[in-house]
Amino acid sequence: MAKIPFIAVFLREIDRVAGRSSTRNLLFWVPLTVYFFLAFIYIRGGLHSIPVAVYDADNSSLSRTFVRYLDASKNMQVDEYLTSDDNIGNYFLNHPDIQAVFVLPKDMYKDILKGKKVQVTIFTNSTNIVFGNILKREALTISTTVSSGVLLERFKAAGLTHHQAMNLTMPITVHSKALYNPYYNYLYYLIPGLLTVLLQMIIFFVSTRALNSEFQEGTFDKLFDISGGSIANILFGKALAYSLFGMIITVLITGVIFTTFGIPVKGDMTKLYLLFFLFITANIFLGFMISSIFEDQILSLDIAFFYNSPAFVFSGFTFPRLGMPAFDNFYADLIPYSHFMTAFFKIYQMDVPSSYLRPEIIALLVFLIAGLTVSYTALKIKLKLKERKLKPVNG
Amino acid sequence: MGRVKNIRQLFINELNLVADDHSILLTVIIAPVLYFFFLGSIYMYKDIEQVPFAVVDLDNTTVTREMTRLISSQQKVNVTGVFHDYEEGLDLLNSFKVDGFLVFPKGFERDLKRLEGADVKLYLNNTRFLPSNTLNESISKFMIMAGAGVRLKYFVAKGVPPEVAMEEIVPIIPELRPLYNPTNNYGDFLLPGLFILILHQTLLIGLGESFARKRSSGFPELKERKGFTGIVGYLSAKTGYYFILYIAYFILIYTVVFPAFGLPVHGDLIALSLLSLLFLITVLFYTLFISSFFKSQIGYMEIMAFTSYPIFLISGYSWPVHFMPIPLQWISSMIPITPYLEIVRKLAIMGGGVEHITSQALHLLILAIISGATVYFRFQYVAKHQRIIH
Repeated sequence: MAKIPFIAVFLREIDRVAGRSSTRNLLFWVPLTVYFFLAFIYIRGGLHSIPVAVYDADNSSLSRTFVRYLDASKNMQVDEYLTSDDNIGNYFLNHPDIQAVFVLPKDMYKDILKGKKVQVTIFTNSTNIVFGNILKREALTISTTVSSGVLLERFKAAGLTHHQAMNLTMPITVHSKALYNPYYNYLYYLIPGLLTVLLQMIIFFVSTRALNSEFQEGTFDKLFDISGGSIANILFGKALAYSLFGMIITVLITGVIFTTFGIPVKGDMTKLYLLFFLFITANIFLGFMISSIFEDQILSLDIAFFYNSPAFVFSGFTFPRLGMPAFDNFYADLIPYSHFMTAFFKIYQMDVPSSYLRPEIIALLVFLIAGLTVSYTALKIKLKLKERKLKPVNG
Repeated sequence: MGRVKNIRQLFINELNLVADDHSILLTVIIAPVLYFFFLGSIYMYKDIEQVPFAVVDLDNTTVTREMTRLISSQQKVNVTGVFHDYEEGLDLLNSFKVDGFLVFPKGFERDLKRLEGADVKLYLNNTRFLPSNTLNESISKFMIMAGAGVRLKYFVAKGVPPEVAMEEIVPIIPELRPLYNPTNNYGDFLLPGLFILILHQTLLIGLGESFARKRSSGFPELKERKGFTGIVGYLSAKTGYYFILYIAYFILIYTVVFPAFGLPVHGDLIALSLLSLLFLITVLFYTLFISSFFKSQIGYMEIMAFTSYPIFLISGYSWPVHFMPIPLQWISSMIPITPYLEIVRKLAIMGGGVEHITSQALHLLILAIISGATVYFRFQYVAKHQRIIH
């Protein structure tokens, strides 16, 4: 029984992928090794017990309380006690593990008793701001807490009740709610982003060679016959095969990696899979677009590489797009990942209603339609040119 | 004489190959310069300012309006709108139109004036850390200062002279001094590592493509080469061009690219130059070894394209190595970019001397020696295998 042409193209593509070591590597080995490797890097999730040093020039009950607060903090641990604050500029060079030095000034307690304000200086090794941001937050919290303790005692000594003293110490209380990733977990933050950007690269790379390899290897005519002479059957049959592989990688990400490393998905899985399917097909048709325009496979791959490799940094995921110049923002809009990433986090971490996904869905559909239209037109032109070349020979 | 001529011919052949192969040309000639400025430009403003923020003012009084005005004058905060319903704030947050919003509850002004403890709620979208941290810090600092203002009023009302009251309102002031990156900005932190990674990856991919391509045609020039000098001569001639080119790139990085992005190059420049050379040689060895296992240029390129993120992340440049599992710490110590990035950090950024990078220099030297020996034995095996085939 003759197969439906579209299905025949799909089955032929599955065979081609299985028979080629290059596509096997991309679709199987790369995700399997790189995904686990990246997830293991961030397996501890957060940075805790960051080593810091203290120079306590006062050595009073107040300064010792301050040091106890530092040591009790979940994010810091006091590893070194300095005897002088000389040459702090070079301290971090000789002590690469220490990330901050807290200097508690001489006469700290005496000055506070006299009603003078004192300054606690915190030197940080800001060559790595991942530590810097945590230390800044902790330094502010601890200083405010100790400062509040001092004020509370001062107001009570002045005759205020505990309640009055408390309210004067903290007239405004800020209740911060860090929504969606409250513990600043880097595994939840970075890994889903990294795995999905690599998914885009994988799908884009295999699609980039899907059509031009047929021309280079002289198999296009056979493919055209199988498709029943329909370019649409070729494009959709091949796209179905690659989207199937893309969805298998999606299951690896969400079903295996997320489960193994305890990364929670807050939103609806059906919605998430539909988004992945759209993202994958948009990339497939963009890959087809390049593949149908450029016959040289290496050149196509070069273009795919240059287009895709900076996708992560342009997406605004680690460094927001509001901090980028206008032309970088424009380029970011030309990459499907920038739009996917926003929609992905809206489902994966935020679990927002579907209406919030509309702008990203529209953007991904535009990529899909543009890729499909250009691929279709380029193949049509190629076939016409081929026919023209053959006519005089046949005639 | 004949051998020297032969080596010269191999060197010229490699030059011709780079000129003819658009992929290698693109990777080693165009990509490094393009990426330095194209990727570097993302971080040219170094940090973020004017993070979109909303205020939900359920109190709508003189005090809350004045506080909103003062918040919007903060450099890092951009108040895009004032609303009177929590749902409106949440809607903006969910659609990524703001990265956070503040809620002034009903009765805020009354509680504040009566000193009954006024509460505000700060909601942050923590799916991305940088804008969330920026808002958290700005708003927290603002509220601490606002609280100090309330105390100042109290003291003055009690007859304390304002200059004395100023001393009493905040007993302990934390003074943060970020060293080596005075504004604690993202650009100064990431750019040095990014530039070195660009050099590492373009060399790994470009030179590797050339060797993988040669392997697909069976290393014809290698089969006539015997012994130590034969193999070393062949490898030197093949890699000589890349060696010279990447020395030029290192000079470009430290004399043009770093200054163009406002990055410092302090410290011992001779040590930095010598260790950059050692790093370059080590990366050449690693590239030769890895690419010698690939049978096609395209296959090599496809796989190597996926190494950029793992190499950078495992180097410890952003996420500390000692926070990784032990097997990954071993892998991290086996790649040359790990000690080299530490050398760049300590010498160029922190202005250290040779005494501060002794262990990293030794680490790099050991990697160079081991990888050099491994490459020699690998190509001795390949050459022998070639002769048997032919």
